[in-house]
Amino acid sequence: MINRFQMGFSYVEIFSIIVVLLSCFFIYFKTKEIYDLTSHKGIGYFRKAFLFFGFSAVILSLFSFIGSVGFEFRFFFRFIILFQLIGILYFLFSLFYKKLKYEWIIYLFTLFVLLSSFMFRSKYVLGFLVFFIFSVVGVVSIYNYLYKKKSSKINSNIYFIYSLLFVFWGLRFLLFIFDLTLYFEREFYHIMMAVVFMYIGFIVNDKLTLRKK
Amino acid sequence: MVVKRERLEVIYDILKIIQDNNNSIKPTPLLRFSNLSFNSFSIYEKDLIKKDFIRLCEDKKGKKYYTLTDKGFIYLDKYSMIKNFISEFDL
Repeated sequence: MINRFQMGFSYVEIFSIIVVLLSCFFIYFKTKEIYDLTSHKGIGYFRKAFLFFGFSAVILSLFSFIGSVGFEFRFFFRFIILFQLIGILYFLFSLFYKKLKYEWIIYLFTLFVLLSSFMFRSKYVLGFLVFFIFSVVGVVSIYNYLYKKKSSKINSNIYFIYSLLFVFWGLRFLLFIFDLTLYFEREFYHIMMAVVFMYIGFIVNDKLTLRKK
Repeated sequence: MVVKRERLEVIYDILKIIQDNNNSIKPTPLLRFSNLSFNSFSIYEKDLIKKDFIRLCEDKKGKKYYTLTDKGFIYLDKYSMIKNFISEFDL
């Protein structure tokens, strides 16, 4: 088995990472106006989620450009995961902001994960803690997709997209924890992420474009 | 069962009342048409002025009235789009 850090980035991966990065910042800036107008908490958390996904994509894209997969990448890989974790927690808050009132929990939990990863010096601690959060969000998305589709509360398949995103993201974490990363799987993962983020960006653009009556 | 209005909906209703009254309405009718308690209305009124959605003006006789600002008109224009967005992403 090849260690993931021994492999560089293919052009497909680099392109996919850039697409994710652009989609995240597009979503963040496209929703700025409606957030400024409404100060809606859900929109605020939703924006922050994509901002942090974008930050993780920035670090990843920097390393993909440099082509460095050595010690520095291993060190910064932790921060990529942490940004993704903060993003995912913000995403969870955007869905349950009426029940989850304290934003500082996000940073407390992230700090706890960060300290644990440094203390135990084990990728299993970081991996399993993050996998746990991904699983929670994945289950919530699947439940909402099935339940809300049945009760016709929403008319979109956005939860289907979320389920796809988080289940796939979570599964990839499992592969990462057990060092089962294959070249093909990595490329597939990055392409998948690019498609999903682009699709979410497309829906955001579609919903926030004023149409002449 | 009476469904409680969401914050964004209340703001829309207040702004719409002002717009429908030729962009000029006195405080008492606005309070009455907005279907809010005095306390709730005061909170919304302060919030809307702070956010620059409405302006409290005085005419030559010293009588007070509310008017919409440009930002208030933009909110009214984009309200249905915002509602669509929130429901689409279940926020």
